[in-house]
This record gives sequence, structure tokens and C-alpha cells, in this order.
Amino acid sequence: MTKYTQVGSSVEGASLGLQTRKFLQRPPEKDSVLGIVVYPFKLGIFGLAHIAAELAPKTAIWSTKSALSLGDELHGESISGRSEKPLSKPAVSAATGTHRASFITTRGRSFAIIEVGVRALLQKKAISDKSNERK
Amino acid sequence: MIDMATRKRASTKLVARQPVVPVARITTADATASSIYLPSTQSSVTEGVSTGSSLDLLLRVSAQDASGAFNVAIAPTNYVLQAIANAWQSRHHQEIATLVNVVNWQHGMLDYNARYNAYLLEQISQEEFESASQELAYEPVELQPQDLIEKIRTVLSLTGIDYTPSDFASLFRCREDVVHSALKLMADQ
Repeated sequence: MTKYTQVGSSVEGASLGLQTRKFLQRPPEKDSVLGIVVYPFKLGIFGLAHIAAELAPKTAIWSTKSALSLGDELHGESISGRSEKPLSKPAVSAATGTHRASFITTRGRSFAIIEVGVRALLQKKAISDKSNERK
Repeated sequence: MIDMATRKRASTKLVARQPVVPVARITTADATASSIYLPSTQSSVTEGVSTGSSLDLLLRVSAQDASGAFNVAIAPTNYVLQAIANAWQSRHHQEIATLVNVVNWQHGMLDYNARYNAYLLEQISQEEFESASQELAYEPVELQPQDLIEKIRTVLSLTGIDYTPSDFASLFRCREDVVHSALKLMADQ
């Protein structure tokens, strides 16, 4: 059970538990790996995704770096992902002492990854290059 | 002002093959603030073909050096307008196409989320929602990272919105790893 917060960290499971206060569904797409229609989603404002059910066998298909163990979770400002089935109705309940959030459990093989805005990515790369130059 | 005799000559003889045809060079001695007279010896303006009875020309007067001389050029108005339109279109065509793409993408997102809301509000069943979702499913297109660089730049600069890589993958209907490759190329440039 590990908590990941770095951009690019991902989890993959037979089912994921999602928690967010800003939830966006994207139109479904045909997945090039699975060859079936999958349902992309995006969580904003400090999203959380944890593995609610492990894959059997525990083999990642969307990212070889994905965490696969039960309870492994992602915390991030923005989390995107996809699941084999459309997301079901969220349950809204208390998430912190002061805020409520939507809780959704995905159905079927699911994937989630922490991401950030493109500007931050480009800037991070520029900063990284600059620090390498100093060495 | 151009005297009527000169204007009449021009009306029957002037229509440039080139965007702008120089017709005269006038020194300040020839011109006053209120009137500029084209010289009567304007052999250069006799080239070209007439447009017929409809005459619509633009006259340009410019002083290009410190000698005090004016350069006068003339061209058909529609020719000049077409040249401006072509220049504008070639510059903004890609931007417009990209923005149209963004609008269509957002429209699709709104449509899909409206269906999801209808499902959440129990206006449609889960089966109906899944069936409707399948209809909207698309297959990602094969794009090269180089194809995306200008498009990503355009979207970022025109909208000012800090989209994420998955947003761009959804917008351009391509795989997310292609977006990451494009971003890497952008950062390296």
C-alpha cells in the first residue's frame, strides 16, 4: 500500500476507487491496446485514485511503471484515467473535516495517472536542462 | 486632386497586371497641399488591359526618400483587397482550423457529459447511457509528434488555457504518448 504523488505515477487495477471534487467524463474511445471501447475520465482539485481490486494476473498493460497492489494510491492536482465500463453514479460524502467529495468505484480494468498542465511540464523540462548545464 | 483629363485617360487604359503600377514621380515643385497633378507624359500607365466600364482603382502616393519627390502608384482595388485577403488567410488559416477543432471537441464533451448527467438524474437507464456512449466512441488517429507541435502551440497561445497532455490527446484524438513526444520536442527546441 504505497502513496504516490509524483507527476507520471500511475496505478492499474481490476477496479479503482476515485475521489474528487471536480469530475469530468470524456467521450469514449477505442483503446489501441485492449481493442475495446474504454471510458476516459479526469479528476481535478486534488483527486485521489486507489486500487480497490487487483488485476489477476497482476500485469500492467497501459504503463509498465504502474503500481498494481491493492491499496496503492495516487494523490494529485489532476488525475486522468480510463476504465473498461462507464463510470457509475458517484456517492457524495464527507472527504475532509470541511469538504465533501464524490466517490466513485470504477468497473472493469482501470488505469489512472497523475498529470499536470503542459506549461508546467515544459517549464520543468527547461529548468531541468538548465540545472544540468550548471553541473 | 487629379485633373479630369488625366483621370479619363486612366479610366480607359489603366488596369495593372502587377499589384501596383507606378504611374508617376512628382517633385514637390509640381505638387501643392491641395492638388497633385499627374504629368501628361505617363507612358508607363498605358500597359495593361481595361476592365470595361467598371472602374475601381486605388491610388497610392508615397515619399520614399528625402529628395521631396512623391511616388504615385495605382492598382485595381479588387486586386489589392484579394492580395490582403490571401495574406490574412495564409497567416490565420491554421489558427482558425485549430480553434474550430477545439470548439468541436468542447461541444462533444458537453454533449457527452449532458448524457452522463441525464443518467445520474435517472432520466435514462444505465443501458441507454452505455448504448449512447458507444455511439460517440472514436478510434484514435495515428499522428506524428511533429504534426502536433504547431497545433499545441496555437491552442496554448490563443486560449491561454493550461491544458494537460490527456486533454490534448482527447482534443486531437490521438494517443497520449504521442502528445508527450511532441511536448518533449517542444521543450528541446
